[in-house]
Amino acid sequence: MASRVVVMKGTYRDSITVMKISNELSAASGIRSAAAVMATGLNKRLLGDLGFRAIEVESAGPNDLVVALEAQDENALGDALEMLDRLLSARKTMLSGPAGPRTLDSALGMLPDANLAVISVPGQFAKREALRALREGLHVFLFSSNVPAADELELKRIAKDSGLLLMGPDCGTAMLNGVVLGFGNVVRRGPVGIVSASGTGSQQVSVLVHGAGLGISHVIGTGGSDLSEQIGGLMMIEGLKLLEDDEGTKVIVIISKPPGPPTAEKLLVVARQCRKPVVVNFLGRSIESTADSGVREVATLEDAAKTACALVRGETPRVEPFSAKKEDVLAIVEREASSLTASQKYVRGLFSGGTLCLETMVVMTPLIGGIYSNTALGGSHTLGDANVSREHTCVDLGSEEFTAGRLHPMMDYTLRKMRILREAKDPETAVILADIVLGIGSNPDPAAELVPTVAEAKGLAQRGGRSLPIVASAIGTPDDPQDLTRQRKELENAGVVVMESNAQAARIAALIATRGAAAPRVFGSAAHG
Amino acid sequence: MGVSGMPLQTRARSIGRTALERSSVRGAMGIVHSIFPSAVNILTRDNHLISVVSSRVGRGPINLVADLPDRAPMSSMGLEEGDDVWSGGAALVVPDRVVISTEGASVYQPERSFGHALLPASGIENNLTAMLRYARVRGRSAVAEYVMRRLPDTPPGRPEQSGRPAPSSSGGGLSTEMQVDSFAGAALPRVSDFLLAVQERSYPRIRMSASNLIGLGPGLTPSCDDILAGFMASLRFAEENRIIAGDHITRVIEEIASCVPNRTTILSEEYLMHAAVGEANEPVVSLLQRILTAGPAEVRSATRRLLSVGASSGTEIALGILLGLRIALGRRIALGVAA
Repeated sequence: MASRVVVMKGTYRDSITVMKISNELSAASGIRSAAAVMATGLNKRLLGDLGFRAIEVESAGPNDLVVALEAQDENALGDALEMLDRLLSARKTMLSGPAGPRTLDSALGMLPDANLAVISVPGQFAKREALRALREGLHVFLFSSNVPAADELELKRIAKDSGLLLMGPDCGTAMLNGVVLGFGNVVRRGPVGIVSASGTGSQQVSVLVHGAGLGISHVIGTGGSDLSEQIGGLMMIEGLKLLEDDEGTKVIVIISKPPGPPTAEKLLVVARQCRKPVVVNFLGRSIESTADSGVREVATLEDAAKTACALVRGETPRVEPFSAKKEDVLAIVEREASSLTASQKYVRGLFSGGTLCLETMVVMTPLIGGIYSNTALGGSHTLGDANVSREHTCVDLGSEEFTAGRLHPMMDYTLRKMRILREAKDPETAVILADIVLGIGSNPDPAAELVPTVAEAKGLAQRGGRSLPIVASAIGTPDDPQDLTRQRKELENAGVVVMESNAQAARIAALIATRGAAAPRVFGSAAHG
Repeated sequence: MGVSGMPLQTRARSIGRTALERSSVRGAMGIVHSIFPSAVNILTRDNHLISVVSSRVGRGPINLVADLPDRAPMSSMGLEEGDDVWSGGAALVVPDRVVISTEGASVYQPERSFGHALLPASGIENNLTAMLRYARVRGRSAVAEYVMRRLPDTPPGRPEQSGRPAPSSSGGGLSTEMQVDSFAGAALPRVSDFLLAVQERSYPRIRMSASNLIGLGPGLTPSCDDILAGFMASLRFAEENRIIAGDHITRVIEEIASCVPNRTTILSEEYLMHAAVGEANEPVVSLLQRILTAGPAEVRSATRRLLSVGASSGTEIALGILLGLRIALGRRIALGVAA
């Protein structure tokens, strides 16, 4: 057996380095024990008790590093001392800074103050990662889809019990303290808080609030299935409570596709108990009178934004079918519809946002009748083949059947451009309708993508002896990376009718397709929307 | 060194109260004592430290948080151990290498008294339980883990009469038979003895048992020092918020502090003496604030941040906080071993 004590006078190494030295020496071949410690009185005494006695140790002080080694023979001891030299000289490399994180643990090591994890892994691994994050006390933004409902329920119960948010699965949009997670727009901070099961729905309301001169406190996403009967709106309720307690939030907007009656009633009970005004938009649900409480149920996303702004300002909410004057709208309808042929009867809506597709159907169905879709409101209007339009059609290009193995249509316009050209060739197409969602995460320049396709589509129709109105809603702000003003201008220059909301785009498309016949229903019905 | 041979010019985002006092002299102030990835320690002429740290380390009484790019290592400042450091009043200067302006830097003086935001004892106990459970799973200190194994998740509602060990928890991630290293084995009976002395208000024994802890354990700040630092800081916070009477606390801390000089490393000595007056680095203060005023989720988050400090120091400080606050709440702690 051989032992050695090495004293390094005035040598300061950070604790992690010292521990690394100690651990690696302990694990070295032929080493029975190893310790690297500062030579404080007690540490020296302990080393003495362990059999490490040397004059050098006695003379060492608290600010000296001492390394004690016990090896099975001199050879092993020599190897260990060489290793010690290497470990000490490796210090400069260790000082060169950490590498990027590859795991949740290493990310937390680099950012120990973090209180939220963004998780985007294949669905089968999402639960494991989300559980780890929740156990670390982190809120979770779960971008992953294809997470089983039972797993979602388990995760959300754990989150709720821990006072944490589990946003998702399949959550595309949130904005917390002004920081956008996933897709989102550059909007000012302000008094309107949103808790939403719809990403594009949140974006639509956010940009309209911004456009009205107000701002957003937070957007809490819940994931699309939070309001299913199985999940029961767990995170919607938690989000509502958080916004209720948030000093910066004055009015709360709730957005979702219509939940089942029990969940809807549960949510409305919580909303009625809220100390702040709550605007509810369950798209497609018949509106119940809630005038006796602080809850206002509205029909569209635009109505939600306008109502929230009015409540913040202490005004009576007032919703109109269009921002522009009626005569100006009808002039556009006249211009676009005047050269339609008799065969052009149908609206063809091509959407990147599922909620925007749904809202369009909610708005247009009373105006033009049944609409076929891959996400139809009623089973009788479900498209047999989502790739083939039939009469009035609205297609959600962001649904699973279109996005499997490819980027979401908010980023990748390829499918939509192809579909525009196909609809342009159809002599029954009266209007092509599309949503253009700007903001962080979306396609960097939708106008550049679409303008050549619009020109080609109009050319195709013209060669068939038709004109082809194209209507779009632009969901964005001038501060978005794509610049709403520029996008709008370039699209309008290409002959696109650009509306400032999805609901307005749906209405004007219906007006064009009906050659203005729907005007009484549009201008008469919206007064109580 | 900056580009073209010019010294690197940066500014301090924040400076601790002690660091401000120590750097307020003009002229030769000290030398670069040690360089770590996230900190450069300056040894002043009267043998005290000022730590120039990155924002990752955070604010603290002796810390000067330099405005460096995120994740830039301290070695990027081009300093070497032994470099002379000068003070120009509103700047620290290492000639030809670095100028750190302290003008406009915010002075770190964290709030310690919470008034109406203070939780009731039951809320604080719940938070301590959350912290203990988290630290058991995520802790990185053999010494602290060995002690924590013997602490119940929730202490009895009134002082225990026997000195038997508390039942060990079934939770946590420790192995059933954790290999006890030499330091952990040496520390446990000493910590036990110290806690008994504090609870029995035997002041001479507090001094003796504290002297048996200071300087014991691995690390640049030895493990038992970190436990004592967390212990003293938590007692000062408890005293400030009238959870426990000040006279007893003052006496306990005086006894511990009297043992500190010349028994441990200079950095540890700094931390201990600041903890004795209730001052500590941001992760420690943040955890204390949250235990006393917030909920378990926030406590877990703050615990996580503290556990990431050093190789094992954060876990040991967390243990000290747990012990200090349980004693402040009148809970009896018996580790069941004799020194």
